[in-house]
Amino acid sequence: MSEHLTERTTNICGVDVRVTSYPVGQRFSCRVDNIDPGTIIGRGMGDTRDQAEHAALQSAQTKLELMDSQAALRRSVAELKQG
Amino acid sequence: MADYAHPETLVTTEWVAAHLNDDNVVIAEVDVDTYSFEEGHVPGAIGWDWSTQLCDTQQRDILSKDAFEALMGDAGISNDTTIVLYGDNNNWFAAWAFWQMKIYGHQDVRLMDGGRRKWLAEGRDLTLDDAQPQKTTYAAKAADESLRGRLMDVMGNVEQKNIFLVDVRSPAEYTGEILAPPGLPETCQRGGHVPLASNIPWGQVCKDDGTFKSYDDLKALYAAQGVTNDKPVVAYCRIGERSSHSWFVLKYLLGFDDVKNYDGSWTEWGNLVGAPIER
Repeated sequence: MSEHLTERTTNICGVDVRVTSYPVGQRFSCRVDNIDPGTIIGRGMGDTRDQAEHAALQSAQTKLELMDSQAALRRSVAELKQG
Repeated sequence: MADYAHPETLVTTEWVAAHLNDDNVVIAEVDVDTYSFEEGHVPGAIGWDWSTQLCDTQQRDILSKDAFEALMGDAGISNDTTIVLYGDNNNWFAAWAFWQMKIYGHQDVRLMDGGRRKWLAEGRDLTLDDAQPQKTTYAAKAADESLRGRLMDVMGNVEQKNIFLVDVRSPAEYTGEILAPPGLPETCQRGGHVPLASNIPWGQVCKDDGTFKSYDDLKALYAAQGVTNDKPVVAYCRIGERSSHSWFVLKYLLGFDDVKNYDGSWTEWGNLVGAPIER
């Protein structure tokens, strides 16, 4: 890590993710990825690092919740078919 | 401390910064998510989209020879150009591009050690400017299939124990606990790994700053799982890009004689009727 690029891990929707933020021009960019393999789940930009990270984490949470909902729906359909 | 088998295949961020304007150097950022390139990239770099420019978009395959030649020519790359590849996430898709360039016989191709992440961490310049390469003609060699693992390479040799098979996915994918990493579509019917495969996750070859570990550390990493240069090695993952990174390490940093990247990987094996699976 450096003063330019910062990295930390956290958990969203039960998934461990990595939050990486860095300056791009006068603003900050942030990416949230799934650590291994590092696929980007959410992105955000902001005037401050905190704003960029907040936006990226929101984006990642929305995506993971949507995928969770889709998985739950598939399970429900499968159960209905069995019933 | 021993040196890498092919140290000329790596360049530092310092080297890249000093050679940005060299006439015979083309720098290419390789991404699966091109937003990274679009928000700012190494000055003078061209951007390649792995999904649409480094893969056959009709059938699941690498580029045809003709398509590869067109890609290179459009990028202003000739046969004697020094190509420097980089990308995010430890150069994972840049390694795929490296592998494909070697399949088609490009002589001088290198990875920027540490990739985009190290460039950003060092606070180096980024640009939004698009490079304007002068198109040229490129003549690729016939594809070197010895670098590429096919289903039959794995199917036929694993049972005979003629090869070392390295699964570079996460432990949770390897054991079948998950079918795909979080946030990715599942795209396989079954979880687990190819019988007899060792699990050496690809990320273990890099240090915290994204640069490759030393020769001695890499050798010990693979030797700890019994993987040595005594037999051919086949690396695989989910779709073949993490394993191309490990392929690069085994072949070019450790100098193993016979290393293949099985790009069909788990999305092929895990969907194959009748293919044996271990968990």
